[in-house]
Amino acid sequence: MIHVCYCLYDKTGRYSKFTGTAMLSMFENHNPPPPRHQSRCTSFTTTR
Amino acid sequence: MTTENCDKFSYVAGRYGQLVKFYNVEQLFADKIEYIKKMFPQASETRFSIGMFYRFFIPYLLAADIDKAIYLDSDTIVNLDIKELWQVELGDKPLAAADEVRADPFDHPSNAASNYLVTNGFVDYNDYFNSGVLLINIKILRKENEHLMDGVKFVGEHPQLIYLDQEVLNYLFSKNYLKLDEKFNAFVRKARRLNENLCYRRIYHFTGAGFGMDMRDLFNRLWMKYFAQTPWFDEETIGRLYASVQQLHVGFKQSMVNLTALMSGKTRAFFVAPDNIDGFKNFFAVRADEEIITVDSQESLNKLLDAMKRARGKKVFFIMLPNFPFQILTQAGFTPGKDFVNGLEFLSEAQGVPLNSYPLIQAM
Repeated sequence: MIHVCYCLYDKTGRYSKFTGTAMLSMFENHNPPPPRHQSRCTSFTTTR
Repeated sequence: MTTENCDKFSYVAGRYGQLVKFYNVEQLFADKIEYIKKMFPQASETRFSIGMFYRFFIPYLLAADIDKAIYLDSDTIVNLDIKELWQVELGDKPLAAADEVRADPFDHPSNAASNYLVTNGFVDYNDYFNSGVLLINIKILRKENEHLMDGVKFVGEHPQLIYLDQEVLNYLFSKNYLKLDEKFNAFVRKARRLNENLCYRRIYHFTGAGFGMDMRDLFNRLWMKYFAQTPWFDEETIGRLYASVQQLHVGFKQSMVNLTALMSGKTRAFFVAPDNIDGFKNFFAVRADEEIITVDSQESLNKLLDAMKRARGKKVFFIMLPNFPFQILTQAGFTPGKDFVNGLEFLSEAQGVPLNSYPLIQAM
């Protein structure tokens, strides 16, 4: 399992799109191995 | 963070079969955050926010069985499989990061020359690292709680330090961290200066306001490619973009009116750098009777001030220098928009001054 953290202080609600875009780019380029005996998932964490 | 945005993050993660968790650092570590705010009251007044310190708490947030974590700044685009960074072996190092000598060779020399940590021997010039991409050894850093706060105290007591969270981490770990391959923290401004014409398999770091709307720039295109796939891009985004452009349009028209009022009964004078004088004269259609003061010595600023005193009320001075210290003119009793204007604001891409479209990105 891969753990990735982003940190976000977004009082106005206008900054989340940058974190969201960064996160999507990471998911889009990540190729996890196919499931075998059990599903493997990747955990992505944000702090706020 | 709003509930709406939390839902959007969960939606994005769900689309890829992934999981996102949220931790409210200000609640979980209220006393430490309070201490940090006291040490850095300026944190909310600059382009940075208290959020830059949240990364310090990552080792204490994650479950006890997690030994390692990646931290990424929000102004990054991951253009490779994150697995490549995850597979880097940390060994007994507390963290891995990219040094700025390689990540930022154009600006690092002057940044380092004025950085207190480097000039006073706390951090070696070649080891100063960027904190935007980190591979964190959770096992080791979980034991560093008080040590971390010592770093916060040190940096807090030295207001000459700017990149606060980065300075804390460098102060504590620059002598004992693992240097990452450049591809894991590739500064977009370096790629632009090198005129790179391909997006490579890297983690691109836009380092602040590096985003723009000009789609001729392939890094802007790279960011927009991913942004357009997020739930933050919808018809409301286009509406906000239009509202921003409309505001620019109204502002531009108003400034034209203001200019006619400003110049009424007055002539122009110019304070310019000596290179490309002919190009500047051509652009502004400068007449033979209009005064030009060229910057050719230390005395040039005094020449400007004297000329402005003699011509007060009769001329408007167009200052054509980047990073000009306008406060010198206001302190001498001159009024912006009446006695002088920033002449560079009249220039466009055609004269080599690109449009800063980051405000449009922010507005979206």
